[in-house]
Amino acid sequence: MIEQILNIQNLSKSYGSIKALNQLNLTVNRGEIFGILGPNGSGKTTTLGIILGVTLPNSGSCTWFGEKPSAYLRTRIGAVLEQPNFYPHLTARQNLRVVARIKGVPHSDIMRVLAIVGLEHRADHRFKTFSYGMKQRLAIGAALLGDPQVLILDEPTNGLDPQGIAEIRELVIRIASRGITIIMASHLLDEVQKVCTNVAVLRTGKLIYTGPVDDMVGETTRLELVAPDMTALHAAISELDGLNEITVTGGRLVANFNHKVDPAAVNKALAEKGIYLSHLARQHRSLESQFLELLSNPEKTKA
Amino acid sequence: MIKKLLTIEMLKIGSYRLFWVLIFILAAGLAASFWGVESILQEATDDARHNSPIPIPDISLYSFPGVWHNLTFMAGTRMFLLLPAFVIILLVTNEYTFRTVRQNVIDGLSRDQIVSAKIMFVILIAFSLTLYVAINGLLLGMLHTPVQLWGTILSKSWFLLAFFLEVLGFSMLAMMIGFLVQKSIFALGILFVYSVIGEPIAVHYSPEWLKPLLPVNAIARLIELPNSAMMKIFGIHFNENISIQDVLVTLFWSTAFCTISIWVVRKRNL
Repeated sequence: MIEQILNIQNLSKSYGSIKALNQLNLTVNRGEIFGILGPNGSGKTTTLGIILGVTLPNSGSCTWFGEKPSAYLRTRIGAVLEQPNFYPHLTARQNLRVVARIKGVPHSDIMRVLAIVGLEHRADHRFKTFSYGMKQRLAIGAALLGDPQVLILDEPTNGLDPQGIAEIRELVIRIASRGITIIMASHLLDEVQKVCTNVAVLRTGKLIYTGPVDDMVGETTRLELVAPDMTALHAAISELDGLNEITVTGGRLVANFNHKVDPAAVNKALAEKGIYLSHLARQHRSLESQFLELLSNPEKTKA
Repeated sequence: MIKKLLTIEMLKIGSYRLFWVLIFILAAGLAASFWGVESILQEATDDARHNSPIPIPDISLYSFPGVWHNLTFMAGTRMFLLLPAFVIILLVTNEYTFRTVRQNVIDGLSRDQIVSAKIMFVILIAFSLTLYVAINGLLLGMLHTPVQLWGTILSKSWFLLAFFLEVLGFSMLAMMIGFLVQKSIFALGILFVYSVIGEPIAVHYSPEWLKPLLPVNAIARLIELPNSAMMKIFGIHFNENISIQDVLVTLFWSTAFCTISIWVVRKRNL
């Protein structure tokens, strides 16, 4: 049975005349790695701020685990919003003691999470001596205290070097594999595509798409083909149903279709005509082109 | 819940050097003025006795029960009240500077608990400071009172309670300014300007009935300048008791400062 973790209903928030969020509706289910994708200023952090109780909405509501949000429910959620927030004069361990006490988690859990984020050797160093990557990792470690059911990350790879980015992404996938639901805000398509299972796309505070990442990546509508007899191939392809356009580049033929196309069926049809392919590949439309398309075409919404 | 919130506050100041430096300065400053004033006074009476044709009786600020009034009056001067208030402002505004107030809420404290924790911490500071003055008073009193009876020792010790209220009221004001302004330097400035310049001017121009109702003035009125033998000669008489009205006004303002803090934290984005 699908278990609802988070449900957002008609959430709106304005800062002065700027509408940061406009009638947002979202549902996150258990086990998903849910990406909230959108350019800067699209309302991602505002959304996370509201569901975590630090930003007050103008209207609308949300539920966690089917209940009204409360301080107690937040102890079951681990979250990092924007930058890592800690007491600079305290060590990593002392900072995590504060968090552990708030969450009602025993101190023995502190070394466990420090090990997960690879900071056990820096446990007794002051937070202000940490590099940005280490601060970010400590924040994720703090969020993991007490084994939360949900982990919320806001631009988790922002400001990190390539190695740091790879480490964080690997960490997120590893955490998700233990059954923790993850909600992640990002303006990086590539990040969402690599890490998330589900996605919501926001633009200027409005939801313009929500669904599985795979659906958004879309269906195969492009095939790349090579055959010994390119002229015969061109002619055979031209007769196929729903063909949109054929282009030949670098000795390869690229066929664009109007609808989903099954490469196996195409191969079979060509073989029946005595054309044997030496190369057949499907071309995914990248998430980026989908994303740009969604952003430029507000009518294409899918609930 | 009280224990949990206070433990969290104690963890936050654990190795916060600036906090402990300020507390040390306060404790050292109080001790220095308590013990220093006595030796200056002793020297002065010795000197006077030397030159005077009539015998001058031993006057000690620190014999029971007068010690309670004298010590709490010294410890309750604006300078000494400002120090714990600065500490409170620092601890409140730090939460905004480090954005830890946001993280504390995300991690599972309610907005009311954020304020309650600070209120409890203010009470703890006021209590500790009163205890410190009480210990100093007990030591000084024992050294300067030839005959020690429990009755004399404890009479007038209610000045300690008045001192507790002074620190409490003034620090609650500091806490509220901290929550309202969120920036340490502005909050410190506002508290200083208001309590040292603003309210004294306001008191000067206020009608008589309003004067005792203004917060800082009410706090200052709790413990008035102790009568000395010399002043009695000149016929100046200050209140040697604590007026219930001042206690009630101080309690009213303390409650108001807490309520405003709770309200402002509830209403704002963090």
